[in-house]
Amino acid sequence: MTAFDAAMATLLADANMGSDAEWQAAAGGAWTGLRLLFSVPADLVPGLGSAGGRAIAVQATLRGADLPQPPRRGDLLRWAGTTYRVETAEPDALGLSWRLGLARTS
Amino acid sequence: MTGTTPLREAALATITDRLTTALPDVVVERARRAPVDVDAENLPRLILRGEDWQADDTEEPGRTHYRIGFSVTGFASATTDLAAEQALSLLHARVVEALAGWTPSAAGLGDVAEQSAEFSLYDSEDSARPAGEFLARFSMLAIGPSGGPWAS
Repeated sequence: MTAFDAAMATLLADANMGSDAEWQAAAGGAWTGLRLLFSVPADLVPGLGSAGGRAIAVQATLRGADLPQPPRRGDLLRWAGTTYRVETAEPDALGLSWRLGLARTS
Repeated sequence: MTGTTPLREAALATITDRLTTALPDVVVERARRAPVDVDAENLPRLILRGEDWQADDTEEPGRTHYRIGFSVTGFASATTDLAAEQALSLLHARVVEALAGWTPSAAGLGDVAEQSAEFSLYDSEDSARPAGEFLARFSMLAIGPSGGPWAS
């Protein structure tokens, strides 16, 4: 295990930072339990020159090894009673973790 | 001659009333400066803002014909990306239907002309909720005595 693996494992295991969640592939199948790091940044949205909008994005970071296949757009994540759809999936440079951009499904 | 209600204010107030009446299920605000929180605020929502003012004193002796520019920004959200896009299109069409070609009954105010519109569906990196906005521009004709831009 590299230092980066160890750091990621520590963050995911931390009760104050990591959360239990479930993942399902876009094609369906069984839900897979895993740990995630969630963030919900709220910021101004580049608008059209008027007052503009403010929105909340939802992002999750997870360990690639915890999934049976690489995440991709259309996969589902269930966390805290809410189901999100994966919109973007970006791996880190080492291929250890993925950063997901999520959309609310309801 | 000095009045109490500027033509510009009369125009914007009349337009607000028109939008409120024509779109009773939509929140209508005027002159809002703060961003609209698409996660916390009720949508759909319209923001009316006054814009440029153009004067033409060549149309009629002793009277000035004004073009009062204004914009309507519409915000809508839905549960899917496509539905959000469709909600924006629907809201914009309802605004155009309510305003374009309409002539208010208030003295000194004339017809509304549609000019242009821009649309933006928010990126997923900015908003977890499928949402977006449009900015529609219009102008209203107003006529007053030269040097007297008052509605009353």
